[in-house]
Order: sequence, then structure tokens, then C-alpha cells
Amino acid sequence: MDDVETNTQTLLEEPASSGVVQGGWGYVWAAYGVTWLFLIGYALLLFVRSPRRGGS
Amino acid sequence: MKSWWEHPIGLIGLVMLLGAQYYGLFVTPADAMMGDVARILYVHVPSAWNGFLWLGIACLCAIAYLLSDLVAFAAAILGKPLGPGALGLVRRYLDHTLAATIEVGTLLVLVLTMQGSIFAKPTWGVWWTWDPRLTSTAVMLFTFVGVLVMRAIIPRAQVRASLSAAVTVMAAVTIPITYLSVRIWRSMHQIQTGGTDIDGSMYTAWMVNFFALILVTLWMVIRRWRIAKATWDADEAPPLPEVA
Repeated sequence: MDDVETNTQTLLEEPASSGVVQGGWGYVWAAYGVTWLFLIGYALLLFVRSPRRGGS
Repeated sequence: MKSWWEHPIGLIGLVMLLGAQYYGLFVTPADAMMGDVARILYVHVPSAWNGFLWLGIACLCAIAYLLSDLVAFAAAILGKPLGPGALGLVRRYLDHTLAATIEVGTLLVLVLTMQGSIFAKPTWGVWWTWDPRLTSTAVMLFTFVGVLVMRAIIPRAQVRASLSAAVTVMAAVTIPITYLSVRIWRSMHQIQTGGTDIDGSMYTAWMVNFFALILVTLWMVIRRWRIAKATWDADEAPPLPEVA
């Protein structure tokens, strides 16, 4: 019974969640970073693999 | 062989992409529910659309290649076999385009999956879950990676082209399944959003990122096409004469 009262009191004391995701810029930078990493990496790979001028 | 417009396309795409990403990161408002994390969608959705686009083109090339196989077979049956030059160049170019678009499309699906995983953590609370959209995307990714691996291990150009065309058509079944998975099954992933559902600036950021990524990846496809051509030429080249 005491536990129930304690939990209820804790819930009442906590500020209500707004439901909006807070912060998260780290995730944004990570997603953009991964994108550029793979785009630049693949572009470089294409230059490395490209046929030599005058070759077949 | 190199065309004057090749690098300008890539450069224009690159500048557009940088501008669109700056706009998406610092000019558009934060989403009402997802906050700043929603800015990931400005690269996530264009990656998906472009991935579907290039893999779809690969599928069309594969179908055309298989049809050319049928035409050549029918001509041979009718006693009028086609000469090597009749469909040869078209078939070669179809295979080069197939090789290039599959590789670039698969790269985009790989990037898309990682972006989605990063987006899932703050919004769903997990990096990965076996949701229908995520599962079908993973199946699509591994299927096309399988096509690439198969192409890499078959040495003869003609055999590689015919087999990979057949396998690509089978792999392409995963594209509509992945696209429609959010509507067919009960998925946590949101369904496709139209331009009227979001703020105009968000829609602009989406669309400019999409067209910019088309240009950048078109440059990649062209570069990869040249590599495919050189590989075919090397595979078909007569062996060097033995030294006496």
C-alpha cells in the first residue's frame, strides 16, 4: 500500500511530458555525417577504380 | 569518351546538396512533435527515393536485357540468327547501366538504413526493430548486395550479364514490397507524407535535397558505367599470344 502511494506521489511530482522529442542534434549530425562519409567514400572509390586514359 | 557535361552535373548537384542541407538544418523550423531530429528526414527520404529510382532503372535494364536474349533466341530458331553487331552494343550498354545503377542504388539503400537506424533511436527508443518496413528494407538491401556479389564472382561478361539480369528481376520484387510495407502491414514507420501535410519550407528542403541527390548520384552512375565498360572490354579481349 505504501509503495502505491509513493509511486502515485512520484508521478504527481514529475513534470508532465510534452510528447516532443527534446534535443537530438547529436543524432542529426550523425545521420548527415554517415551520409557524407559514404557519398565521399564511394566517389573516391570511383576515381580509384576508373579506367586509365588510353587503356581498354 | 568523356563528355563535357559529366563533371558539371556532379558539381551542380554537390552545390545544390550543400545548399539544401544548410537550408534543412538551419532555416526550416523544428517539427512540432519530433523537434530537431526531424531534420534527419531531409536526407533520409531523398536517399530512399533515389535508391528506389536507381534500383527501378536497374530492373528495367534487366528486363530489356532478358527480352533481347529472347529476340536473339527466336531469331536463331527461325533460322535467321542475329549477327554479333545487331543487338550487341545495346545489350552491352544495358548491362553497363544495370551494373552502375544497382551499385549506386544499393549504396543509397545502405545509407538509408543507417540513417533510419539513427532516426529510430531518439524517436522509437531503439536502434533497430523488426518492423515490417525495416525488415523489408533489410531484405531488399541484402538481396541486391547478393546480386553485386554474384556479378563480382562470374568472370565471363556474357554469362554475367544474362545471369545478373535474371537475378535482378527477381530481386526487384523487394522494391514494391518495401515501398508498400507500411500500408500492407501494421508498421510503426509512418506512411508516405504528401506535400500538403507539412510546412512549405520543409517540403522545399525535401525536394531540393531529392533533386540534388539525383544529380550527384547520376554523376556516380556515369562514372560507374565507364568502369563497367572497361571491365567488359577486358573480359572480352582476346588472350595475349604466348611467348615462344
